[in-house]
Amino acid sequence: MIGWIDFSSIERDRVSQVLSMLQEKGTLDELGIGQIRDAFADQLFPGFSTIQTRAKYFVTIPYIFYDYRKLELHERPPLDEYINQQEDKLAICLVENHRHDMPKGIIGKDSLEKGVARKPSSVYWNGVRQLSIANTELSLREFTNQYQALANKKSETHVDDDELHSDIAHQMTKPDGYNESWLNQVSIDLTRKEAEFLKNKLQLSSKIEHSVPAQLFKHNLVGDALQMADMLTNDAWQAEALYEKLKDSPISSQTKTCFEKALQFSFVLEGAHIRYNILIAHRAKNTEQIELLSEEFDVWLNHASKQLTSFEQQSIDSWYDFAFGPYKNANNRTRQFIESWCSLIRENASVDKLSACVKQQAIANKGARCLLRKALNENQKWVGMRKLEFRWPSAKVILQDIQEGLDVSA
Amino acid sequence: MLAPDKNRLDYGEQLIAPEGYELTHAIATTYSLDLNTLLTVPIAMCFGHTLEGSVEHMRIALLEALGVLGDKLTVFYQQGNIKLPDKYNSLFGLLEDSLVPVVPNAGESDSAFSSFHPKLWLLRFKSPDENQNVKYRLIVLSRNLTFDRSWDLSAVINGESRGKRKPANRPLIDFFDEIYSSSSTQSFDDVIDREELVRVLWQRPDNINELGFLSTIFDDSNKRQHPIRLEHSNQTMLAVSPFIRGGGKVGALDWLSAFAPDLQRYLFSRKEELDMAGEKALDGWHCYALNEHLVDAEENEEMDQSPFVENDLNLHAKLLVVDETDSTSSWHLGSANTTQAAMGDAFHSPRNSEFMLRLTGSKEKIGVHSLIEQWVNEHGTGLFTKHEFSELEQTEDESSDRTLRLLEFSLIKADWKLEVDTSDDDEYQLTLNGTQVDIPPSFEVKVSILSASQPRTLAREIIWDSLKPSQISALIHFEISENDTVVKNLVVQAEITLNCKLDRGKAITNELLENGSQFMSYIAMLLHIDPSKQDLMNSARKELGEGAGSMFFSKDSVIYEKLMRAAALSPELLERIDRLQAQVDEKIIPDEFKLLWDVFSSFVPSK
Repeated sequence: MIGWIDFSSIERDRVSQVLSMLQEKGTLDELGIGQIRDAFADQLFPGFSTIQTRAKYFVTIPYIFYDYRKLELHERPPLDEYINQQEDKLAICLVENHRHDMPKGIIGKDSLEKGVARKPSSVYWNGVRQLSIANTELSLREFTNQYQALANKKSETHVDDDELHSDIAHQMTKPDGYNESWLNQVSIDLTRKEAEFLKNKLQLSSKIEHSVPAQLFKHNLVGDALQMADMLTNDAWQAEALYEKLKDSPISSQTKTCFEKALQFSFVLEGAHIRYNILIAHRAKNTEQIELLSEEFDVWLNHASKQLTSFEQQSIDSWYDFAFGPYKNANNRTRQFIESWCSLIRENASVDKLSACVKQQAIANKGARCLLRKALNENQKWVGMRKLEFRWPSAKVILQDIQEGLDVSA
Repeated sequence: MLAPDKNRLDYGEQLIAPEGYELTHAIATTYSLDLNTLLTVPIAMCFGHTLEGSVEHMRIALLEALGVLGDKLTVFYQQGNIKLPDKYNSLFGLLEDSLVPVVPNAGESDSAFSSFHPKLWLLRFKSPDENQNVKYRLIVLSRNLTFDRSWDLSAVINGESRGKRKPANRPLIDFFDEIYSSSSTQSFDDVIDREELVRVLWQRPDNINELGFLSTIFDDSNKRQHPIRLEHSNQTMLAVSPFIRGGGKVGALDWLSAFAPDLQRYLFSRKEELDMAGEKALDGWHCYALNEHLVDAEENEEMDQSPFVENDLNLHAKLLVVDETDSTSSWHLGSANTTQAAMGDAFHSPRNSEFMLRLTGSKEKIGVHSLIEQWVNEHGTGLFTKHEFSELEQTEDESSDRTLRLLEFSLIKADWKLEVDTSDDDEYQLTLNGTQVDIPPSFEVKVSILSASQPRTLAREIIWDSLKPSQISALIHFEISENDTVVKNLVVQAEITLNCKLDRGKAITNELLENGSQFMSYIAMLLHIDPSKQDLMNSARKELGEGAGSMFFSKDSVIYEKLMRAAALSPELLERIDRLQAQVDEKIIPDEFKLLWDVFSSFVPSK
């Protein structure tokens, strides 16, 4: 056997996902703060990711698992193959059923003949676990192997799960609203039962009790939050607007504090990203951009001087505590950079020193691939992050789907 | 062949023994080593599972696996090149006996600028059935034993020892001979029976009709040999190499140019590497770079980044393909970049230790154009894209790099010795002695114990004290700074001598098993005759205060049944449980269990 090597199926799935989006442009992480940004997002919006499109896939995955058990033993292909086939079929059925009103977010609609490259089961797997739809910590492939073995056991062949007594039913919950012909009539919109199922999962899974979506449902604030988000302009900082809406609401203090820390972290690092882009503009010899960004940096610095506590060591420690908790490891180099950046701001250091600190981190992080090493042309735009959204924009779409489903008449 | 989305191999699967066989030996070689990566390996070797999931969740399972693996595992790596872990894990201490550091040696050339670079696994499997042949598996990679996620290639060949000696296996044996004789206290013969290995009949991978082994071991005149074998009249050539430069030149590529005509040479590398080499130097090669969108994709999509993993998905594969005739092509796949250090050139021998697999097959299946078709498309959405050269800022300060490299080499080739003495009650002290290393101006070196930090300035003798028994480790960390900026971390394995009584394995076991609940979790894991991955993960739920322990002696407990079953079917499990009790602090063993054990201990085979 000869081939490209993957450390495990998790990496392999990611490679498949990556290969399917070779034309998409996103945000670079030149300063290496993506890890802590994601750790905050895992606290605030666990189970959500930027590549999820619609809420529907949270139910189609358990449906497919349940369909598998409905097959006669001798008809069953290996479960991973079955999931692949059914997800290809799902894309075809969705496109067919929506041919008059093509909605956004049907995964694989542009490659129906070739099959879906980015499988919903792998894109949503972490979410399915976080919402306790699947009660497991295993990767998709390991879970699939285990589930298949269990499903083929004689004792598990009865498929009446309404009592939830069997092991297998506990491992993968059957959503309310399942019926055997779901696939043929499938729509990307949630039925009311499905929406209620997901709402309950979000609200009741103890793992994600202090996530923003759980708290929004618990305190009936989903509608308000969505409405507020709709009113914002395109360039607004959505996560901050949501926090402003929630900071005096009855949501849990743990959620509030974590959200507050995340935004504080975002603000502190925004300055570093402006400095970085000034360096980029120098490299691109774009004087207009240098001036514009220098003004923006002054505005930021002015804000910063009014909240110097955000730059204290204690603040940095608390970000790490909230984002990573006691058991998750964080990248030391990034932490050292954040600490240096904050101490330079506290000391009111010169912009040259600030730039040197940022440049050192960018080069340490990216090596020869760092943009500061490359020839850039004059119309080089902003590079990298600025105001962090912590996956709220993606989560919003999912919550919108659930909210609309709840409004469907039963 | 090598379609980016289809031809993929799972690392963990390759380490699992064939059905009905057990692993007896695993020998790995790597340039760099991540101890956290190595910690996952026993999950495949001992439990037959793939490598998903975090080691954090499987500490107790790993403790067991490392005990089972014992001296079956040997890992040769370049001295100094253990990746500095973000957090020390006391399980690392159980890996140390398996590690053999190698100081790179270029023979008559400058060894400071050479690397110990081969990346492979040799696995030996035996069946309990004496009539079955011994099986071997050779995994040849371009990837080090780290969580790197770059685009890397691997070839896995399986074989059985039977019949006559096969002369083609000699270079493989010679390669291991050289490594063992230059760095290990054992010889290769102590580990593997060469008469058995020379008889291995390897199964050829699909589309391959001939395979051979090539390495850079020394010839009789103490010069390293080229790790590739090429005829002179090839039609077309394709080189895949992440790195192509050495001393500002592309010497190996210039040499390779002689083996295939102009306009028939293709080079696949990293964008920045091609830019640094420059258009002029690469005249005569069609240049392609790994698609930039791929390198940055995970960043762009804000995919989760694991703290353990390198998230840079750049090119790291090394492959040289030539179309020899209208119908045959050959591949060299393995560790060697197309650099002078790795391959040598027309006038120089290579400096590195490298290992390559040479494969031949039909041009239609494995030839240059069949690969280009898989990798490049007109939309620019392939694995590689046609490279357009651009100017790079020259930032490399070569003289400072050179100074650093020489300093690193003097640190890794020094003879570091650690002595362990008791200092206080259950506390230990470590004393480091080594040769005097000259530190160049503007450089500073600090040294600390990997397990306990306590950095000190480098001196002839350094003492660390107040160490817990589980912190006794042969791994020391050198932090090199230039003008007050850290430029390099080296983790070096010293030779450790105990001047006092200390059972490190026992100390580490005791640290991991702190209470009755954890002890019982371990027992629970052992008694699952074939633990599933979920069982392995459940065994380490100490931080959640759960685990099987607390539930064990409730009225529904199954422990009695499980022990009965073990006594009947797997008495060796009772042996393990007996040994475990000798390892842990007697106070943590629940009284209920002791009572039960009184009954079952008589079934322990050795008793």
